[in-house]
Amino acid sequence: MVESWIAPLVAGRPEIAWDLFIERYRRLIFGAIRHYTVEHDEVMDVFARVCETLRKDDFARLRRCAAHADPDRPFSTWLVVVVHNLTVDWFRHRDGRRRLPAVAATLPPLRKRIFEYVFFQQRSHAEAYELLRSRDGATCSFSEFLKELSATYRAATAGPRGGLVAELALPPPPANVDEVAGDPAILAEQRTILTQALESLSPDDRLAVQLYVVDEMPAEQVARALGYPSVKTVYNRVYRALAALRASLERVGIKEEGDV
Amino acid sequence: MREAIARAGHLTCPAPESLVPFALGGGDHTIARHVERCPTCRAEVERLREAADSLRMAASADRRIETPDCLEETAIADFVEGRLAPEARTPVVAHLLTCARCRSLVRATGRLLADPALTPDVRRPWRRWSVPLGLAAAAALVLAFWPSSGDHRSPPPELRERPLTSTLAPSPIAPRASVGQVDRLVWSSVPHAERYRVRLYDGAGSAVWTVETADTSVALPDSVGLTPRATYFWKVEAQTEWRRWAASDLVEFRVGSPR
Repeated sequence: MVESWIAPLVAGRPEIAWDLFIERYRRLIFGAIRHYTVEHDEVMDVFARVCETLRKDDFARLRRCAAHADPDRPFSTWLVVVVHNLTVDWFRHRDGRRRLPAVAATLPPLRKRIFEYVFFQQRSHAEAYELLRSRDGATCSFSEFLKELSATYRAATAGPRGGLVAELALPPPPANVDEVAGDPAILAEQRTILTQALESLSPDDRLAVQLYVVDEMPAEQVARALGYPSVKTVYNRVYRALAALRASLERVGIKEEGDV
Repeated sequence: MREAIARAGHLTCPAPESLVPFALGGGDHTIARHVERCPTCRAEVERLREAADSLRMAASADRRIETPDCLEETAIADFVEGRLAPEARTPVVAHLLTCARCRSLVRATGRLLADPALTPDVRRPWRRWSVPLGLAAAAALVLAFWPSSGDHRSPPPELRERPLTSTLAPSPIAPRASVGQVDRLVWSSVPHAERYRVRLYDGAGSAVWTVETADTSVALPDSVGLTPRATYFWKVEAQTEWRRWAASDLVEFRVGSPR
C-alpha cells in the first residue's frame, strides 16, 4: 500500500498531504490515545496535541519520517511511538498533570510524596528515598520505603488510568522486598556486582535480560526485537544470565548457596 | 543445573530454561503442575526469582531522563520491529542498555502494537516507492504544477489512490475549480449507500463544515461563510456498510465573489 500522503508532502502540498495522512491514520491515533484514556475530553485534547506537533515547523516530523521511507517498514509503528510519547508527555506536563492528582488523592501523605517523586518527577526509587529523608523528614528504613513504594505502585496503577500511570514511572520494585532490600549502600554494591556478572554476556543477551526481567516485556516481543528465532532463545539466555548473577552474588557472599 | 535436576531422579523435569517464564510470573499449567510436585524444580524456581529480584532491585537507581543521546522515534520503531541493520544495531543496543527511558518506550510500543484494538490499523507496510520511480516523479510533477488559482480548463488531479475496496466511491460534481458562488455541494450517487458524509476544508486543511445526509446534494448553510478568492477543498464519503466508508477524491474550488 502506498503512503499516499508522502507524494504531496514532497511536492509542496502539505495541507493535502495532511488531509490524506489524517484520513488514513486518524483511527490508529485515536486508538493509541484510547489505550491510555477513554475520557472524551482528554482524548480530544491529546489528539489535538498530536496533530499540532506533527504539523509543527512545516510538518518537520513527518518530513523526517518520510526521509526514512523504506518499502517494508511499517509506518504505523513509528506513528505509535510518536503518539505514545506525546500522550505520556501531555499527561506528565501542564495540561494532563492537572487531571492526575485524583489518582493519588486517596493515598496517605507518604505515598503521595512517593507518587510525586517517582511518577511526576521521574526520580529513581533510590533518589525518592533520599529525598523523602532529606526534604520531607521521613524516618523510614529503606525496606519500609520499598514496601510503601510497592503499595503506591499498586494503588496508582489499579484504577482505570492504571496503564497510563504505569507509563510515567520505572517498573515497580520486586514483590518480595524483604528478601532483597538492604540499605542503598548495599544495593549500590550489589548493582556493581550484577553489572560485572552481566558483562560476560553479549550486549544483545544483556538487553534481553533487561527487557524481559526488569522491564517485563513479553518474551515474544523481546525475541522479535533482538532477532532471536523464538521465545525459547529468550528463556535460554535469561536462564544463563540469572544463573551467572546468582553465582556472582554467592561468590561475594550476598546470597548463600541453599538459602532459599 | 540440568545435571543436578537429572541426578535428583526427576527424569521428566522440564529443561531448566523452561522454568524461566513460570518463575517470572508466566508459564503454562504443565510447568506449574510439575513445579508443585517437584522440590528440585521448585527450588530452582526460587533461585531464579531471587536472582531476578536482585536485578530488579538494582534497577531502583535507574532514572528515566531524556538525554541528547536518546534514540529517535524511527530507531525505536525499527528496533521493536527487529529491522535494524547490523551497523545501526550496535549503538542502539548499547544505548538501550543504559537508558531506562528508551527501554520504557520500547516496551510501551510493543504493548501498543499488541493491543487488539489497534491491530487492524498497525503493521501496514510502508511503500512510498513501491510504485515505479518514474510514475512517482510524474505524480510529483503534476502536484507541483497543479494550478493554485481557479482554472475551468484544468480540473484538479486525483490525489488519493483508489480505495482498496471494490466499492464505488462517490464523485464530487460541484463545486470544482473556480465558481461564481456556492449554494450547494453535489456529488454522484453510490449504489446501496446508506448515507453520505461531506467535509469542507479551508486552505489550511482545517475542517470548516461537516454534514451527513442521505441525499446526493446538500445546501451550504449561511453559517459557513466562504471567503472570496480563498481556496477550499471538499470531499464526500459514502457509507456502504457499517463503519465502512468509501471516500471521494479531495476536490479544490475557489469562490469568485461573495455569497
